[in-house]
Amino acid sequence: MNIRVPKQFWHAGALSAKFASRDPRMPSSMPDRVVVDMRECSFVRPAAVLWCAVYPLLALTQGARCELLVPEDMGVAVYLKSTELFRVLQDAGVTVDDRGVQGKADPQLILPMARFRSEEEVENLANLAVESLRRAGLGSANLHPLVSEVFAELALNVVQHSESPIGGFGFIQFYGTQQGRRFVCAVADGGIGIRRSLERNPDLREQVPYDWVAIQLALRERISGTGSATRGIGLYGVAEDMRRAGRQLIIHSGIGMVETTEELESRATRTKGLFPGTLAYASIPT
Amino acid sequence: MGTVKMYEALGKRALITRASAGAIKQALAEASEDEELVLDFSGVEAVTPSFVDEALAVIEDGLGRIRKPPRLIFLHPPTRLSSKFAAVGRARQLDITEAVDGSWIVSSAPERSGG
Repeated sequence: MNIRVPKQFWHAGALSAKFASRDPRMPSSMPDRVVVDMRECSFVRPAAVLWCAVYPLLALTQGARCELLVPEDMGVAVYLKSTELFRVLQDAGVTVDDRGVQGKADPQLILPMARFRSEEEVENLANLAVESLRRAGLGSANLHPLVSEVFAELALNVVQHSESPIGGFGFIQFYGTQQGRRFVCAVADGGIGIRRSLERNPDLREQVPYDWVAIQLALRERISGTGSATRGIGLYGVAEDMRRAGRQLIIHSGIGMVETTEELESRATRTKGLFPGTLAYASIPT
Repeated sequence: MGTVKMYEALGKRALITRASAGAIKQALAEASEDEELVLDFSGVEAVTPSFVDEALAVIEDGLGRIRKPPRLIFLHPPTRLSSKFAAVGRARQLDITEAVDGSWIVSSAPERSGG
């Protein structure tokens, strides 16, 4: 199977519909070989970068041989190498021929892509982020705690609820463009997704017929698959933190996507492309 | 007044996990013996609802219940009090409010009668 990503690759929802039913979490769904073809890609966003990690690694768990074809655009290739995407894939056994692509230390990459499986690892990454934010001195210093907290909460959610066979992935980046300056926290897993997680709670099972409904429900206070009265604050808290001017939270789980902005109501959509697990993307202007 | 200096106790600038809060159980228990318990977050730059919730659970376990009149103070918290931390309090029938100096005051929520 050859998955050709769009030239402007924003997120998995933008992938061709013919891949939508190919869920790498399902053994029967995977061919012997999976190629993620990025050669014509000229622009890639953090949400798409994380899909490029999650999809091949899940396919590997199904026994598929996997390869990522590196963008011909050297700027995009260097960026992807700098995020550590290539290293993460190569370490796991995915073929990535990145010869001639020189990674560079990017001071705007606050936390390069990291893989985590435990809460202790998440805490270590959050502490690395704190140090890196302080060292880089980018953006408003009074937002640095928020950036670290948002990343940590999203990553804790992965560890506690995703049941991801490949663990979780995340990174933090600062963007300084003509459109403005912002921090982006992106976290993803290859787990059961929000809908199935909430279905673990008998009280919620009948309330989550679709992925997008489940995501919206998960953003409410004290909603979690555990049913515990003191749990279910993390994702709610992130969503509340994002309800400020210019901030944005996007969650893509299965074929559901919910975008939360400063408006009270979040926007829920059905995507043609599937995210095999859950992806969360938080954007914080500074 | 019992004080626990969180950065000195844990050596971390980001306090994220429940396990980290559990790691200072003894210090919290000893400090809770005084009339007022102060958790000093000087030097801490990020804290999550999970950490705060577990810290409250540890203190509650130690005291049976936040004592009346409650005097639990989060001194020099890394961020302003936001709705996520207020939600942590609500889940434990506690009110968390922000004082003029930015510290957070934790108190028992008034009992609400049914309508």
